Amino acid sequence: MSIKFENVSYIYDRKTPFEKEAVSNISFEIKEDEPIAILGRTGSGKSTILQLMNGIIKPTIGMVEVDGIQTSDKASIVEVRKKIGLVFQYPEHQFFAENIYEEIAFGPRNFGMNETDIRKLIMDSIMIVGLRPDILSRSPFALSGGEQRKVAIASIISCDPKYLIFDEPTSSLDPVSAKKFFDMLKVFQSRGKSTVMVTHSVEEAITHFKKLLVISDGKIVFYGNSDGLLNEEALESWGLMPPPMMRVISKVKKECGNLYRLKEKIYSTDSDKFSDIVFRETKK
Amino acid sequence: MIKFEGSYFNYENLQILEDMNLEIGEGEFVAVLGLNGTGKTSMFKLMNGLLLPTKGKVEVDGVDTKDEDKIWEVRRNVGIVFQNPESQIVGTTVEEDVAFGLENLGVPRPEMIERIKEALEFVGLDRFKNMEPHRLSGGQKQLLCVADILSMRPKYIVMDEPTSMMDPMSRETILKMLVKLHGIGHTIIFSTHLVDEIVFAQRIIYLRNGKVAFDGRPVDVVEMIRDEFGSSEFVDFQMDLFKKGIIDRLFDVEELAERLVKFCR
Repeated sequence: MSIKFENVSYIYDRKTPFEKEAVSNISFEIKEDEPIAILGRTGSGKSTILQLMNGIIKPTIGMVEVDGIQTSDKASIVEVRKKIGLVFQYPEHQFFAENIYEEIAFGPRNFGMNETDIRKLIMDSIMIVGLRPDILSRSPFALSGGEQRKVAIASIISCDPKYLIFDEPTSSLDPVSAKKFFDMLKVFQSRGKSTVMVTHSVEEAITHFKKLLVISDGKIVFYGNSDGLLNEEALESWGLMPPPMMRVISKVKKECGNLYRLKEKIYSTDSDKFSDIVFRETKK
Repeated sequence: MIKFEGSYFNYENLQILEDMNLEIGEGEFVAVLGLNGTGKTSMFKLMNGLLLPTKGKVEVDGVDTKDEDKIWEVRRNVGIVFQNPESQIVGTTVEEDVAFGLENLGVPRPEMIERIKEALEFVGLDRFKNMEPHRLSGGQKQLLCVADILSMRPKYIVMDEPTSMMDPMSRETILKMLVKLHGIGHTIIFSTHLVDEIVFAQRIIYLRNGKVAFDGRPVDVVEMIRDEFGSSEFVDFQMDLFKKGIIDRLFDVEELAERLVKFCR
């Protein structure tokens, strides 16, 4: 069971002067139970890939399959959408209901679930995202940014999708809410959900995911374990900003030849907590 | 100077800001930090009279923001750029977008042309002056909003989470623009959730539940907010160097590397 892209290309505004190939002949497979981060700069094609995953858009060329079902198969598209829960970058911008209960109930109702099951799913989903039941009668518009994001996530997980896909989930979240999001991600994983996260933050991707897919100009430029990604030149060539410590240490290394003198001058012992940072770069 | 004096702000029955007392002087570079929903945006909107305090007062260069006769003076002095550039762009071309605010201020045409040129050159968008704004990237749109504000020559530039919708490259462009604006004499006040960005500021104001919880130099405030707000490897590394007496404040990537190279030699 997997999400599978086979020689997929996607062209926007085809046969117009604005024609643009956003995704170019890509093939990959995201297996069930394999959390993965999709990394790329703005405009690299990440969001197009997400939209291809749940059939919002269909490949211009090639094939996208979710658990063996082609997204271009109109008769099965509802099944694909049930399996793929897509949380957009600013999902709270799409709120419309007058209270949170109704907001979360919208998705499961559309899938034809009965009210008893919907109530159970709502209670379960707000518990997972860390909201209290007394919030259900409040307007989603009266919440803080972090709480709104949680309601948006709850409204997706209440549909009980198998794959949970997040587009830049932590942008505009404070560090505490961002940490809670990643804790929540672990809960989803422990409950057997497959999680996919799109981000432009190298730090976020390598900290929370072992498997990475890097997209640059609509093409796959890296697919593998995050350990293999820590290469400043490659990151820069893909338009990605290396983490700040990597940039600092690399600049010092370029100027000074190596980092041993820096390490020696700053740290009296190797057991100094921060000497690890310099050490880590020294070994490369 | 922007001065909050016993300022409160309520939204319906909810208290957003409580008894805020602080002064931000001309030429400062201030980062406002705090968790989501802690009152940062309300604080910024109070600074140019987009919101008025429920109790107490806010003054800009001695003018009370509640003084209706002088509100335009306040707004000329305090320019705000919001988080989402999309919500502030109105022009059909980049140039027209900058012109909009100037037309509202009644700036004469020849001066307007001069100011537009100057503002677009400053943010590096002059070559896009005839382009439709929707064709700009997210970072460029935010730069356009900076140009809009800059053309009105405000003393204080207030930016509400200017980088939260940006990728890291665009983020750095915006932050360096803030440094550049500060360099030519503007007072900069910005909010952020990213600890790494505090290295650009000279002062941090940390809000907690609508109150100023900490106010001071980044190297002092970082330690106090660590448990509540978190930190980063980049800032922690520098704090360790600061404690060892190797650096005397926090630096951005280039400046820190430069200092470490000198230290090495």
